[in-house]
Amino acid sequence: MHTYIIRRLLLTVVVVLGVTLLTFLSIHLAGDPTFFYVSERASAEERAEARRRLGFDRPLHVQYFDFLFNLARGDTGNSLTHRVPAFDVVMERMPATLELTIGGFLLSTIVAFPIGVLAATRRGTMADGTLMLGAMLGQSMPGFWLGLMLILFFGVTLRWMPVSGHVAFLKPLFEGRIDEALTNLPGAIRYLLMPMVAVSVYSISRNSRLIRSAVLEVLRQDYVVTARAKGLTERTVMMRHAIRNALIPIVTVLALQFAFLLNGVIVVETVFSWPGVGRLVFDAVSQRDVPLVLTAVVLLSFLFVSANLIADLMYGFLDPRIRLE
Amino acid sequence: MKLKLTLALSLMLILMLGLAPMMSSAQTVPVPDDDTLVIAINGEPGSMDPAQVGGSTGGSNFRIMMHTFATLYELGQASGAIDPYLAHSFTVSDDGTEWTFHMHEGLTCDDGEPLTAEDAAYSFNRMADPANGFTGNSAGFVVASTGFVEARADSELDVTIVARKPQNRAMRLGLYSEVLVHCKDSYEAMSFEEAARNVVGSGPYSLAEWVPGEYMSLKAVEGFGLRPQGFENLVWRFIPEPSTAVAEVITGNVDIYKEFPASQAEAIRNSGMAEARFFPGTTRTYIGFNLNPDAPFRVENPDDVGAQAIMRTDVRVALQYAIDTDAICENLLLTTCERATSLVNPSNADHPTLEPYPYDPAKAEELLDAAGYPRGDDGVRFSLEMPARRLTGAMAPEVVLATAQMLTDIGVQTEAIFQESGDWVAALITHDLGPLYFGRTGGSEWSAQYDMADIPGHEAGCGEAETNYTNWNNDFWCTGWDTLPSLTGDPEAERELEIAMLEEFYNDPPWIMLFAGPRTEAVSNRINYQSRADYFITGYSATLKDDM
Repeated sequence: MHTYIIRRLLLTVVVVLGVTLLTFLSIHLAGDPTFFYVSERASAEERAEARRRLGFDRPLHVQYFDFLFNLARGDTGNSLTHRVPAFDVVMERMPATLELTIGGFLLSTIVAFPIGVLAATRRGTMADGTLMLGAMLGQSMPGFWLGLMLILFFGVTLRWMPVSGHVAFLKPLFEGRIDEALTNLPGAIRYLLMPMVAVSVYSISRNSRLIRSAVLEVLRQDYVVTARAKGLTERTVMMRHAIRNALIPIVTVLALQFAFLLNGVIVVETVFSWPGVGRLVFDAVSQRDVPLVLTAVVLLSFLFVSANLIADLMYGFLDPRIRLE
Repeated sequence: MKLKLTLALSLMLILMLGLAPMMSSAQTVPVPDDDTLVIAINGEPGSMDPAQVGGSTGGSNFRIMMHTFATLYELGQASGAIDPYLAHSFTVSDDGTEWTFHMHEGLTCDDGEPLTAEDAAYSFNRMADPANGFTGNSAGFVVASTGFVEARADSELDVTIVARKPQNRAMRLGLYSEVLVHCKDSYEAMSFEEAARNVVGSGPYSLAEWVPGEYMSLKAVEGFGLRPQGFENLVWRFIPEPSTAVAEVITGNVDIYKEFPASQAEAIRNSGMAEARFFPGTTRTYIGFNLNPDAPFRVENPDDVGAQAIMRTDVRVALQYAIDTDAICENLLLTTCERATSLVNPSNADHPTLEPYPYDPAKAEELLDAAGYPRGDDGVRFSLEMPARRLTGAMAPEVVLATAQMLTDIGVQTEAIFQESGDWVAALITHDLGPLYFGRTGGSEWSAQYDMADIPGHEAGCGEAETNYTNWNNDFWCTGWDTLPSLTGDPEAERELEIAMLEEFYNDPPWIMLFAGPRTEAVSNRINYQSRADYFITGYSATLKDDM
């Protein structure tokens, strides 16, 4: 088990390095970032001077290895637009992204589970058809459009919910200001509701279809037939035999879903003016803020890989036949 | 047991979600009230260092810093005005290179430090010092455009700014009015990182709270007498999505939002919460002809008929008649606009008598036939590519596509190519963009020469000058530009030359002239506020209406 975890952690480092390399190359392939940090009136000499000052005149591999070397020392460099350490800028926004991602993850899991199980146990009925049609619609709706529709209906027409904005919960919590975090909680939930729905509708739809398939697959197994033949109630058959065995593929997808939500927040953060990392990265890419983009990518890919590692570790817990070696 | 626990937890969560909207919390998102004005902007300031104003994060920090920092003179609220601010007057040396500003007595910065001529000189020198690595408007634009050499304090209240040569007075005053003055001791004590996040201002408002990614809250500085302070608090909310910002206006959570999408004007008006204003702006929209003989598209494909055709003046004139700016403005921008005759804003000191080229496709075709470019069997005279960016307002893709179609309609098959902003800017700066490009450039209402500065004279390289993106190499224009500084003492002769240069621009056009702006601005019904034609928002001048 320990060996497995160490091996996976080492693999994590390789994955993060790979992601940073791809990001680094793509941001430089998109053009010389220097043009974003000089005046349109800058002469060729001034542009060359700016390129030297920003370090973009060095060969790409030197720039990349410099970044890695400094990263190893915990120095990610200053953001070119914010002119403060890039790590601080990203970490300042990370709690808001985690609020949205965790909220979306919880919501999608809690809602998708009963829908999937219900559809599986009522297979072929009107309820099954309606739920799966809803799931298909949910998967077809772009988060951007859904967000705007939520704003229009609940924010503008009904005036039930705030249109945009954010009240911090995790940030004061992480900083040890527990009283402030708890006092902020109702406001935080209020502002979180619509973005959370927008970010999780796709996941709810996908997960409920997956859960339905997984449960249907298990219901066809011999041990379920045996359980029923033994005279167990349908509820016991479902809870003790069917759902637990259906969990393994579901957990895999849920872990990936967390990572998917991390990606999806970029659009939702923009629509709801949510001060998260997704929006920050989007702006940083537009402004070719190389240190900021790379720092955010390192941290996000670390979260992404960690979510997958947790999923792998959970297999062993859910199914004792699986040994992690 | 586990099932019950899960169910109980789920119910609790659902209950919390349901009740949350009714509960109060310590932190809230600022909303307008009698003491608070809320302004929405799409961008977010990166750095709040006054020397880094208008940098790579666009101009969002400039809009805010105009409230936290004062300038020697200020680009006024009224069209074309440049008003005294920290300085009450100025004198100019005989040779026009040294401008001495006489500052008010008793000025202070936010931290109580006296604000004197030494601080003003420090502000200019700090932003211009290449060692400090500042980019953006002051360091990148003002320094280059004024030929800034140095600033020095002559006395406690007199600061002299030295430039290499004389310049049109309105232009130079306007440019100096874009440099934010800050206190030397405060900023010398700060590292660049500290200066990016902390504000020790000299303006009517001080920074009260900055929640990155969300909003910045400013508080009126007590005893600041140089400008009004209509509201005690000014809140700048960073709302990147225009539709969301409009929704906030409609629900009464935002008082001012500049540059809303024209298609949402009706929704704003119908809400009864705000006015949807349309007015001419100072930003000039145009289609540039890239005349650079060494541009890659010309060198790599020397037989490209279109790229060669636009090198001819008669062809460039012909294409002017192909564009129906009225149709574009009325149908796509939902307002009316005045077509430009040159690179100077119609609302600025434009040419007094020239008439804009009319929309006359038949004449365009006739001129192209006469120039030796008849339609081929496929109806095409020649083809051109037109790189553009996906922006909003007058630069929106539908506007770009409409102009491409209008050119195609007269047989000049034009393909609009939407590029990533960075690629577009890089090619523009190196004069490699084209053969046509759809562009815009900032302008003013206070000096024709400010608008004309895009194409400087021989001394700056004429066709090869950095901002002459079309590489237009017109000897009359470039010689005229070099002559203008010598005429600053004779405004009549100076104006006469300006007019002759604008006529040259009209007759040998490096641009297809479109229009200035237009701009949109949503303004809450509860406030009095005069919209500005330029990029800025002067929130300090807004006041609550009497009946509110």
